[in-house]
Amino acid sequence: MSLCARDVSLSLGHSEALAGICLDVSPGTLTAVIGPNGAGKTSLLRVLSGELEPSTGTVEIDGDQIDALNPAELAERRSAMGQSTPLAFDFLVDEVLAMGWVQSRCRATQCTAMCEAARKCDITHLFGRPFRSLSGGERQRVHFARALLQVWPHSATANTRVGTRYMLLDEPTSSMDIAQEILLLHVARSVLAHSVGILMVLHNLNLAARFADCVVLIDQGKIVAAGPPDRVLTNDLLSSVYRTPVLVERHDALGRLVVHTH
Amino acid sequence: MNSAAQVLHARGQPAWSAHAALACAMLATGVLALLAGAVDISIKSLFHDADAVLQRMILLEIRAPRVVLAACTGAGLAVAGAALQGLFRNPLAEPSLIGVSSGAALGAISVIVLGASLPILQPLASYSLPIAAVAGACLVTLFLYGFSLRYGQFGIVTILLVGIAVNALAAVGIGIFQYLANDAALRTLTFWMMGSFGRASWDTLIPAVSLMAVSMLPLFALTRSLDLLQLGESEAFHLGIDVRQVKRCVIICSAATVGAGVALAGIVGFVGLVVPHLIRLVLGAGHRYVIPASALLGAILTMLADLLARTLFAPAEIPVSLITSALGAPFFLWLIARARPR
Repeated sequence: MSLCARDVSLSLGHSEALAGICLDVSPGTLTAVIGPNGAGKTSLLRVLSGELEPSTGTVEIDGDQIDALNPAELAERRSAMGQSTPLAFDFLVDEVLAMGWVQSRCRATQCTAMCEAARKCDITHLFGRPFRSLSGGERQRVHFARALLQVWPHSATANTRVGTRYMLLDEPTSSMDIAQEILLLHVARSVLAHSVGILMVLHNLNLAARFADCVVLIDQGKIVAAGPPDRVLTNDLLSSVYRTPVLVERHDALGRLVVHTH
Repeated sequence: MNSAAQVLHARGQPAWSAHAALACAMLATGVLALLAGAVDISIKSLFHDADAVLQRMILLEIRAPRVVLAACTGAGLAVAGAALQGLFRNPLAEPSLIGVSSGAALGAISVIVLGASLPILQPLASYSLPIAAVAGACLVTLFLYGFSLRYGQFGIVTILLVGIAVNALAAVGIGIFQYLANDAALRTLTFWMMGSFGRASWDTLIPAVSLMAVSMLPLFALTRSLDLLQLGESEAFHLGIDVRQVKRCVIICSAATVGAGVALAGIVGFVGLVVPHLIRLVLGAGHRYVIPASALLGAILTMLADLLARTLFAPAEIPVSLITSALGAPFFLWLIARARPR
């Protein structure tokens, strides 16, 4: 039971975006993908979501080949949040959120789930506002809530959803302030218990150190290191991959790793 | 119930009353358009008067097909406009502006001109005309979409520039056919460029209107897909939409709708731009409201425009596109001013 890439390579034009990637995202865990710009993080997400077909290798979701599933079947098993496109029309915030509802047509269930997801992500007060009037960070919160709604755990009474779901998030916090970043990561961790597995691309290494169960460090389309944060976030690895001196230390008062640049 | 839930429950309720109001307004406009005209018809006189036979003939054989054609063409153009705007994620995508209507006109004109020299085509004219128009419209829409894929997502104004080029190319083709055409065909051609519902008759109407209905219906079923496409193609895929299939369906259906309309009525400008935008201003951007409400308002607007076209200077008629463009062009300017990047 996992979302896994087996020896995945991807060629885009003449360049090789991904080479020999092996990766497992298990339900109940949060995996952070880190690496410098252009390392292949977004490509990896797009291959895992089924949007791009790998040149070699396979992607499986709970044992099923991803290219054997149609888009609607995939949408019930994983959600994805990309770097978003601006909207051309004035949709309201709750209409954008509702786009994430892929389950039964039951209106009451949808309403309850939407209110709950909105409350968790702190966007309830934005309901009824045009999406285009929001700031970048607010838009990201709405998109995150939409991705959350897509994998929303069933309530005991409604038609039960079986199986595991996965969330693939591409820099979900890139425009957020520090408080919102933390809130998003707390919400993400809280859904892990409902047999959801999360993979997210992060640029903020401190967030990865604090919230991830597993960190995957990518450079030039290859996995350089993967494992628990204290094994991957080391001075040597980070300094060589980011090509700038990085200092990682254990902060005793906080009880976790802290990453600095020189 | 908390306030967020109330907001969600309230959604969609005003839309139903708006749809009902539009439907009533459409029926009322239809009746008005049937009764008013160069010869005024009163319902009472249809049954009692001495010249009831003449009045009934005017009503059934001249005015009814004309009103039906105006309503269907207007509904089709508005729905196709809304769907194309959704597909291109561009509020300025309008069938006549981006060249889809010219493509259809070119197809239709080729049949008229070649049909005049090839007598075999003549008896099939009521079928070959819409088919050629639809083929022309499909060709242009596919080209536009291919172009946008190859050279990146269209900017909001780029599509208009490409539209100018497509319209110019279609004008070349139309010019060549005009050069080849004989006098009778030339007269027919002129009306294509201006738009008119005056040539409606039941035997040409039925194939075109059925084609329009068949190609418009799938667009009503694609409203959720069109909504999700607004998030971008990858996000729409992530949300379970078979993007390629949806795109193909929207392109073919809207092109066929426009083509069938153009085949009978010529180029009627700006309906596909004005109507969906008015609806969006009132009911919001959700396609589940925009598409059906556009159909209703499009029918109303076109029937009224046709009514004006044939009564303003009665018994003379002016081309209907003069009226829709007089309304649409200022609206279009206002949209461009609004669409500037903020």
